[in-house]
Amino acid sequence: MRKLYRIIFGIIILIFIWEIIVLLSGSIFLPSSFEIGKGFVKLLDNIYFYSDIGATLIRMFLGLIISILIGIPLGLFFGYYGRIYLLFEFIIDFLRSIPPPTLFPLFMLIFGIGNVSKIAPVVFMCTFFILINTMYGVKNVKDIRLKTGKLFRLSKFSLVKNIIIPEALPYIAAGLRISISLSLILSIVFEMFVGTKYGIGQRIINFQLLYDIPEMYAMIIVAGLFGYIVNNVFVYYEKKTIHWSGK
Amino acid sequence: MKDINLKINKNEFITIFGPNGCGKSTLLNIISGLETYNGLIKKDENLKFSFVFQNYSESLLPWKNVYDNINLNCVNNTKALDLLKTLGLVEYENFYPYQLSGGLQQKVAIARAFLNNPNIIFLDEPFSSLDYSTSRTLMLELMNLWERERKTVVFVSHDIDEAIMLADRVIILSNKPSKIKGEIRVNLPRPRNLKLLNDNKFLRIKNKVLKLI
Repeated sequence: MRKLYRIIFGIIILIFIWEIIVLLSGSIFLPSSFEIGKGFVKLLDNIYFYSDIGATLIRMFLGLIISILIGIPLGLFFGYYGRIYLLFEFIIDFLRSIPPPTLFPLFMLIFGIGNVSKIAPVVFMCTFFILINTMYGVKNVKDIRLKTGKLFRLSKFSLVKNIIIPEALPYIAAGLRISISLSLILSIVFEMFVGTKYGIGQRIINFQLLYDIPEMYAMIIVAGLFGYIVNNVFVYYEKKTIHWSGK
Repeated sequence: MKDINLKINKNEFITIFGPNGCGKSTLLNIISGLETYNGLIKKDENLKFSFVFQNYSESLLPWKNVYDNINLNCVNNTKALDLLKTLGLVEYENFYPYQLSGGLQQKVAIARAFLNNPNIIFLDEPFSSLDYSTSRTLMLELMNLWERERKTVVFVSHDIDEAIMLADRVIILSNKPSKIKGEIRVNLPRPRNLKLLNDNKFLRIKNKVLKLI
C-alpha cells in the first residue's frame, strides 16, 4: 500500500511539472494533461491499440529469448575458458559499442522489412549484455566453493549446475534487466525506422504524422508504462528466484 | 615453507598449532591438493578429502537448503539425517544457510565434511570467527562426533586450549621460517569435557606446548 501512495505522489508531481511546461511554452504542440488523458481514452477505444502492444511485446520477447539462448551458454563458456575469451574480446567489445540504430540500413538489407529486421537488433545488442554479465558471474564464483566442488568430486556437469550457474545467477539477472529495457527501446526504434503495421513505435510515428498530438503523447506514456510494468514484474520474480542475493 | 615432515596416522586427530601467518592453512591446502607444491607427499591413491573452511558463509551454498548442502553429491539419505540429528540440525533441514547463525552454519559445514565419506577431514580454524561460547560448544560437538565416527582429522588452530583438547597429537608450527617446532602427544582419556581445561595434566601439556613456541 505504501508503494501505491508513492506512485500516486510521483504521478501528481509529473503532471504538475508537465502543466508548468505547457503553461510556459504556450505551444499548440504541447497539450495539457487533460487533453492527453482524453487522447488516452480514445486510444483504448482504438482497435489497433491492443495489437500494437501485443506486436511490440512479442518482438521484444522473441529477441530476448534468442539473446538468452545464445548469450548464457556463450557467457558460461567464456567465463570458464577466460583465455579463449581474450581472443574474441576486441570483436565483442567493438561490436557492442556500435549503437544498433545506426546499423538499420544493414539490418534491412540482410533481414528485409518484416519482423526479423526488428528482432535482429534486439538480439544483436542484448546477447552481448547477457553474455558479458554471465561471464562476469562465472569469473566471480567464490574460490572456496570451487574447491568444495573439487573435494566433493562433482562431475563437470554437476559443478556447472550446482555451483557455477547459481553463483552467476545474480549477474545473469542484472544482464537480463538491462536487456529488457534495451529490447523495448530497440523494438520501438526499429519499428519507427523500418516501419510495420502494428507496434508502439509505428503508432507514435503515425500519430505524429497525422498531428494527433494528444494521442501521440498518450502512446509515449503507454510505452513508458509498458517498460515500467515489464521491469517490475521481472524484479519481483528475480527477488523470489534469487532469494540468496545480497545475503 | 621448507623441510616439513609430517606423518598422519589413520583415525588420528591431529591439531596443528601455531601463530597467525605461520603457514598452517597453506600446509592444509598442500596436503589436500588444493594448492600446488614442490615436494613429496606419500599417500594412497584415491584418498578422499573433506574440508571445513574458516569462512562458512562462503563455503556453504546459499541457494541450497541445509539438507541439500550437506548431501551435495552422495545421496545418502539415512546418513545425512543421522548427522543432522547428532548435530541438532534436524529442525533447520529446510533452512537456507543465510537464515542460520554462524555457529549453526559451521555445524552444517562440519556435517557436510563428515558425510562426504572422506579418508581425511581437514578443518582450517573452523571456529575462529565464532564467539567464545559458540566455539566451545562446537568444539565439544565436533569431539563427540569424531569419537563416534573415528575419522582421520587434521585440525588447524591458533587457540591453544582447543588444540590440546581435541587432539591425539599437537604439531607445533613456528613462524618465519615455517617449520615444525615439535609435536606433543596428548594422552588425556576420552571422552573429554570442558572441566579438563583446569586439570593438572592438561595444564602440564599446555606448558610443554607453550615452551615450544
